[in-house]
Amino acid sequence: MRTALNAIYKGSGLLAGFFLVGIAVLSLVQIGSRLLDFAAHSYDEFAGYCMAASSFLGLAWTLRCNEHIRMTLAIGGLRGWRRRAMEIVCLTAASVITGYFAWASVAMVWTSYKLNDVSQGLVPIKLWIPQSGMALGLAILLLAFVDDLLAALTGGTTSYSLAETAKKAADSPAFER
Amino acid sequence: MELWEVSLVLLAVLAVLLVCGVWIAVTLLAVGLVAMFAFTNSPPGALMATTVWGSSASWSLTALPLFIWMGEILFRTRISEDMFRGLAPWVEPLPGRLMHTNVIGCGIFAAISGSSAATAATIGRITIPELKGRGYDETMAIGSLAGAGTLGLLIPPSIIMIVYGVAADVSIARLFVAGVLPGILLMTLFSGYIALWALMNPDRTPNREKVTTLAEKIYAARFLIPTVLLIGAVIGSIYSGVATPTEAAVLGVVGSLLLSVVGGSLTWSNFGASVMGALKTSCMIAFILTGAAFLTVAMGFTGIPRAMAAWIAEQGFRPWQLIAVLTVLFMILGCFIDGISMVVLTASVILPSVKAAGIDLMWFGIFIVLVVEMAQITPPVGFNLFVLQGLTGKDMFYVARAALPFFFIMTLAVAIIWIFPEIVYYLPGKMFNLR
Repeated sequence: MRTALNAIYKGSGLLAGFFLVGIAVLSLVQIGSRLLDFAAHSYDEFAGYCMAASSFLGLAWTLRCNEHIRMTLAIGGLRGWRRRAMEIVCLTAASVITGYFAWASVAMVWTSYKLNDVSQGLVPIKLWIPQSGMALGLAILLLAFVDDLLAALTGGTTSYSLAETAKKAADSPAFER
Repeated sequence: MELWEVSLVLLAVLAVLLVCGVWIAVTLLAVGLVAMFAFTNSPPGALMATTVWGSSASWSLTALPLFIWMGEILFRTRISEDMFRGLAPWVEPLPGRLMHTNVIGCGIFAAISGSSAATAATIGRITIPELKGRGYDETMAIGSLAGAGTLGLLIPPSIIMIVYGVAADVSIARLFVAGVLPGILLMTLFSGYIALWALMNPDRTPNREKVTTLAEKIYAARFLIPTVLLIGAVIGSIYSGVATPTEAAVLGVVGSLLLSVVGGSLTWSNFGASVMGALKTSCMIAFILTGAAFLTVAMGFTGIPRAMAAWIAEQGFRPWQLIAVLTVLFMILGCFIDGISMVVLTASVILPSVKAAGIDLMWFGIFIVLVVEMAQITPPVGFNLFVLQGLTGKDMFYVARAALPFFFIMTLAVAIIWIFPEIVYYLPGKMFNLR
């Protein structure tokens, strides 16, 4: 179970990284098309889809690496059961909100599929295809939040606290903010 | 319920969730949902999904991960060592000597990196031990690095400008170009202060190590050539209108990959680490932008920003009064929340008021970037303080005290761009038309 879950987080993270490189490749193709005078249709639309896929599919992995920011001023000063109670409050709130958001996104994908919506560019794309990246990413984020909520409830350590400890030990500076 | 009561409830929800430590993006979504559920009759679900989809699948946003990736690649090269070796002979004759490598090094690195923490970390990694080893005043070395590191935000490319541009619907290319002169102004003020300080405290600056001839200086500057070429390619292509920010960013990615191939630091594992590092930061910011996009729409439904704008217009505030109030407000907020959250909250609530007061949104973008820079070095929450704490082993309040003069200099810079707004407008006005 643990291995399977970790593989899901890592896998969607790697997929998100793939789409990030995809943005670069598409933009390069666009520059090339202008220099060499061939047509690259709808590249900006595809780059936008890659952006969305990359942003949402990477959410869970980012959480587990403790890169999503939060105000730690109050919670950082708590120890023991108080800290755990606070984490449970945060994780519950996050699970509820993400759950609602994921559900709304799945509903949107379903509507696009039913109505057979297509994009407006020169190359028509069925909208439910890129949109499902968003729904899937949010669903995996929900999974990650619930996963950590269960860890906190059963007295374990959350994935992001573990990541933070590891980061401190490796002494790598917080980057790019 | 009166509108001000609604505002108070939403503000309370925001404050409670933030203080509890709920992730910022989740907090923004939650406040938006409360606003929609409690104070409007519109069903939030469909609106939430479509708004967020529309703002996330956005081409103008693609510059964001690419510039972050470029920074991640350069972070793994020897660029900071090269920069120090290239700059040192040039600044040695100045009062303050090698201390200026902090300011100029950060300024140059800021022109290839979009973030202030990355700038401070990359430059500080080399200058802090070098300056310390040569007997420079430690407080001043740390303070000037903390201050100059924030240039990463103002000098293009800039992550925070992309965030502002997307959230406020202002041209990112123009914002980038508008940041150049204020950035140079800030560098001049920082270096001027260092020189002045050195003249007043002559016993606290080590003597010149060796006198170099002009030929030697030029020869040493060869280390700077690749960096300067990269800056030229990125900023030049935006300024000349040849490339959009996204295209300029991809040029930057390719350029920095070439640099790391030449420097021998590019391995597959390094490449993968740079992609995944960029991904995490980009996802973190994209998630906040997601929350902000929904919050903006939800706030629009409540009517609060409109009412606020109308109230401000009615009071007949002078624009400078509004800017002065906002500066103080942001200074206080900046002590507690990070710059990106500050920018997106501003965009969803305050922008209509700013527009109503007749303030240009591009100028306001530069203003808010400057104030966010100040927030980077105010305790207890300031990312540059975190970085320098890790780098120097000093505690955060020591670093913040060392950086205090530079905080005041930035306040001065805000006043200067208010009195002389041409510093912001001049270059964008000269820009070639975008395709």
